[in-house]
Amino acid sequence: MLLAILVLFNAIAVVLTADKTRKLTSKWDVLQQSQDRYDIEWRNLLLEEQSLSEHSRVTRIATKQLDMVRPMPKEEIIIRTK
Amino acid sequence: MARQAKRKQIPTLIPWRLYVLVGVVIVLFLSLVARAAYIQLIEPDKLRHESDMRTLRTTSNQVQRGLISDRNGEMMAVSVPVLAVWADPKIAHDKHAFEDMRRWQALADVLQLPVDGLVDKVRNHPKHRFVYLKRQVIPAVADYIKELKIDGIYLKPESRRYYPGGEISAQLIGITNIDDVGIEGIENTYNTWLTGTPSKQKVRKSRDGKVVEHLSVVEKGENSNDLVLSIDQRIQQLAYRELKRTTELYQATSGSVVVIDVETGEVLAMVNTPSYNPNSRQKLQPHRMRNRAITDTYEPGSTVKPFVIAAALESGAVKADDLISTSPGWMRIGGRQVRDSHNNGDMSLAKILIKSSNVGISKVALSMPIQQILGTYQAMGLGNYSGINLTGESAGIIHDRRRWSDFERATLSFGYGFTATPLQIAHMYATLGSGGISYPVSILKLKKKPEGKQVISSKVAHQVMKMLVGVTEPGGTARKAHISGYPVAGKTGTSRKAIAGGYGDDYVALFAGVAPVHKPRLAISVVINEPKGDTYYGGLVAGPAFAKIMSGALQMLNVEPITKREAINLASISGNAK
Repeated sequence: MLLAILVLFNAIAVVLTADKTRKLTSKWDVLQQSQDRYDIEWRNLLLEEQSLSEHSRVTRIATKQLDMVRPMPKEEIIIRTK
Repeated sequence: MARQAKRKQIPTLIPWRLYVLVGVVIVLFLSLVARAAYIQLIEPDKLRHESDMRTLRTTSNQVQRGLISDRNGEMMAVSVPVLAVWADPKIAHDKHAFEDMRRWQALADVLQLPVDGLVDKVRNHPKHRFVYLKRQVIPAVADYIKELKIDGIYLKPESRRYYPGGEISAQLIGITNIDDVGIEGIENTYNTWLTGTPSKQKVRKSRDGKVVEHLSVVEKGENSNDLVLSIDQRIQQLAYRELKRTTELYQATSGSVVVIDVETGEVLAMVNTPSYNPNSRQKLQPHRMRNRAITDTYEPGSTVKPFVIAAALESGAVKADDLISTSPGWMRIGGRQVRDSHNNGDMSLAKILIKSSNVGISKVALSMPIQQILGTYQAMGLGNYSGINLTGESAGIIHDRRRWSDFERATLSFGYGFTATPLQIAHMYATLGSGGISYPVSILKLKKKPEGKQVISSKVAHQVMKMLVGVTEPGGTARKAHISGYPVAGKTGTSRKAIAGGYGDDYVALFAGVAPVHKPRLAISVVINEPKGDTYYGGLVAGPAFAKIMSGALQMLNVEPITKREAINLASISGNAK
């Protein structure tokens, strides 16, 4: 009789665990899918960042719009931190 | 009567009825148990199979080709998923997809293809099962196509490669073909490293399409790997801009610039003109796609003279303070003539380099055995692969034979009779700059400093470097390569291009050097091939580009400009040399 009860409990535990596993797996899968989605978004953002931060563009904006100039080596002042 | 009847209805147990009923219930129950047991224990396979058919799926994940970035993490090649539109003509026919032509019109419009050609492609081959309609369609368009719901039209994931750097690094990075296989440059060399294979997995899906169980891996995939190059995109961009300007100004056929980090042997920039846009492939011309910095070889001309001096100092054939008579400005060797532009009289070794005297260097070369020069050239990497390991690299030609005429020995000393790539020339100067230690050239970012090989003694290397300072100072052949703040040890070169049966009218203008002299950081070679017009001297054509790239790159790398005291120190050394 005791054994029968134990078997019953065991069976219920198996069912519960299986259900839990499935839920976790499906959650994991959803997370993985969103990871893929973010990865694609990241790639597109990378490209956008690259095209915006392209050196010739930055140089053009710095010199034309912001009136910046690159200092000559002899105009450089070196500050030592130690 | 009624009363009697009522009394008669007092329940009396009719045993056989009860037994029959109980018996039937038990039989029914037992048969249920038996059936359940049968399904569960004796023949479970069929139902399992039925269940599996409804829930088991094989999924595969798409793997994007690895990223290529420069040493600071700036992207040089990025893959983005796109889709290919394909059709199954048989299904399109079977399901009468051609009845609603409005959908086909919409499909053709969004794909920017003529509708007739598109429909014919599918309609004319009713037995075929696969035909591409358009490849590399962006996801937004793909969603629209999915909404059109045309029978027999499907989408297939693939990826497209973008090169944010565009033409700047086009030859170095190379390109992939439409099937994502690298066919040029680094894309080709490191194709296996960059390519991943998709993995396939068996999963169980629930009724609403969620994955609830991972069962097994059908095919083990491999993740793609990213590649970090030694290139510094800032320097690369600067070098390309200056090279392009120079190439256009002198209407040269082509040009190359290589920048090497003296301390590690890493390539910081490698650019070529003319270039092409790797993002738009309609008008690809093979001659624009060649990475000339490693594939094309030139006779290096006077740029090798410092190494002849180094060989001579090393062997003891001359001493650093020797004077060599070059009077009267020409000499006859074995019936041929070697000449300078004018008579320079007695010259120190430094002055031979500063004035780029052919007579002087020939005399130095003839004072030692030929093997000494050849040995130094080869130790410096001429005639050998640089170790950069890129597709199409040329090793250059340097003959190794027993018998040399005196004239050949002389020409060898001023850079004729053998060929080198722009990369090899830059590498030679990098070796000179690092105190005679030759580091293998690397296009990949290194984690730690590689082991170098001492090929000339550091004493000789320093002596030669000091002699070269005068080249970019007043009186030298390349004042235009002078940089304020960063003293340069460089050498000009102007070589005639060999044609069948002798030398033609075209020139190659070169400048190669290291800076800053007191603590060398960068070695740069600039090679301008076939400049048109009257100016073709290395100092005038390649010198200014060298100066701009060198000073810009040193600033970017935060290299300290020389202090006044150090400048005076150096000036006195080069003054002595004169």
